[in-house]
Amino acid sequence: MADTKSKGRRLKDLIEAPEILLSPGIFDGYSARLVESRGFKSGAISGAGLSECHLGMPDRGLMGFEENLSNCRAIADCSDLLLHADADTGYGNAVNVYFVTQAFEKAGMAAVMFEDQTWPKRCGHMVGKSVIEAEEMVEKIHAACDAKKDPDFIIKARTDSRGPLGLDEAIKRLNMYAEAGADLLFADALLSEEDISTVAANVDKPLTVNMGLGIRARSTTPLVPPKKLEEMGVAAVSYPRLLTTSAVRGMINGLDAFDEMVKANEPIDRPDLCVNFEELNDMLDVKFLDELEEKYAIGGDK
Amino acid sequence: MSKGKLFKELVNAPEILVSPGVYDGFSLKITEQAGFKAAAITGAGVSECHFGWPDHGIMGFEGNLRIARMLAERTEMPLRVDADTGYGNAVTVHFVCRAFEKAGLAAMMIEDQVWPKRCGHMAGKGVIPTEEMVQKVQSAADARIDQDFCIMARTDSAAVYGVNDVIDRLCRFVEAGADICYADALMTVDDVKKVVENIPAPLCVNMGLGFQTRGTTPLITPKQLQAMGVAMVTFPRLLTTAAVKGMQNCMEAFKTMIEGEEPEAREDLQVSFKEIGELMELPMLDDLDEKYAVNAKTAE
Repeated sequence: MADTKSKGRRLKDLIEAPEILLSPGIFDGYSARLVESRGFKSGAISGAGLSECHLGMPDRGLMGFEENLSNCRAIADCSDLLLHADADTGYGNAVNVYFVTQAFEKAGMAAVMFEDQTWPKRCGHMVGKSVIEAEEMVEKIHAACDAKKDPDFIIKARTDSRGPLGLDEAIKRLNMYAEAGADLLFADALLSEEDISTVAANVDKPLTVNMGLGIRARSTTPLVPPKKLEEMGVAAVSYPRLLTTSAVRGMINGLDAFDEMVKANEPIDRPDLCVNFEELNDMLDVKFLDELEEKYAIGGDK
Repeated sequence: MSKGKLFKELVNAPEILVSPGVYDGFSLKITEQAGFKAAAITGAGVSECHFGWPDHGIMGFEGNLRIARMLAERTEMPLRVDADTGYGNAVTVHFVCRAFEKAGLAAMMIEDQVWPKRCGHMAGKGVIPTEEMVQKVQSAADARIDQDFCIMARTDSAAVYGVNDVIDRLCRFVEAGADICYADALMTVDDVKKVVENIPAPLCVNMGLGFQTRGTTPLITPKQLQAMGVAMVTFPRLLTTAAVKGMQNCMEAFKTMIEGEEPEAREDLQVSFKEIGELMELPMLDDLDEKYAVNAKTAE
């Protein structure tokens, strides 16, 4: 039975459920389809991943609005995941945010995230971050909430102030953003488990956190398993770097072995290093294209 | 030296030119770092990665061009682009060729499949008449501004009309101005040899995943191909399938972690945050910040 609820509503239901919502970071057709095939209901589109994959640039504010939007739209067009877009700082002031919100909602997202960094932003776990005034960010959140068509479309407000201004300021800001209408709050680069507990206990709306690579720690935020986060009162967790780092690892492993193959006299079979062609095509839903051809392209050469 | 001329020299060198297929920022930078001299953009990879659909002609010209331009801007390696069928007739090909040359590519591959095309190793291919493809190749050869911008003419005819038609077509394409020939999905080692011996231009073949035999083409090593006289070999599916394998392996470990196990550092499953930053040339951004954005360095 088709779900008649909007994407935003369905994602809200998952965030409000007692169990913590896990959203692996996705960034391209492969990662979106893989995450969906593994039974996840939602995916967090990683701005860092989009910039690195589709632009070949690190997450330093080099990707513009249009590029972000067109890549998000492409992911929505090949996937049934409930998607979180990463709209960076909203690409201007609160007026820009108004139009950016509408564009991401129309592109098929369930949620859009805005952050309070200065532009050009940088990955929340890099040094040298700075934030705009809280009042200016409040206006951005106001504009986003007024702009959305579906009242359940989720506005996720992120603060990067923990590093530059401290924990109290981060909590204060998140509550200001909640009051302005944000549905989901996100404090990036919290420094300890205690930080996370404190924020979760002191904000007025559901909290989501970022656990980076997921299976590997980084120096900025400790790696906390989802069950523990759930006990701490965290509503959702995303893993934006989970799949970019493993895709790159897979490619490096492949090229290392390729080097041997280039020097070899006989072919080498390494099914441990590559998915097979059939598996790849299945994952990409070639079956759906075959069905369309069967149904409509009857004049085609079979 | 123009990128086209550099590419041509690499193809014409006595050693076989080995090119992994690239399709995104990650695969491009990894290939460059590994020291490859040239790379071939895989149309299948671009379609799958950037648009999420298999290589069935869902991706159009603009989508392909945008990604090809990005890849060319991010590397010094000469790149060959996969222009599919040229997205129309011989007139369309004129504009497509110009656009890819201006986008900074070194070579353009154009194929004789019926549109919408499909990956050369899938069932159900059809090819256009030789005459029509000859016009497309002529149009591309005339359209280029730099005479060294390479036109790689591909035929998918092996599965449809057999190896003799492949040879006939490739000879006609060379006569029409193609610099390099590409025969996709040749069925046997003998077919590869036969094609090499009977065409008047360098031959490029496709060895797919590199590590896995497909039903359509035998897996032959670069050394063996070189001994047979093949000038270039591409591995368009090597890095896409390796990336997906890497993500799959990671999802397994991730599942264990979700179930409550303490995560253990598995360096075999992911690169570090620092490594991915270096791969994406973060130090260059830091240098630019240092030099121009003096106010950005205040926090933390």
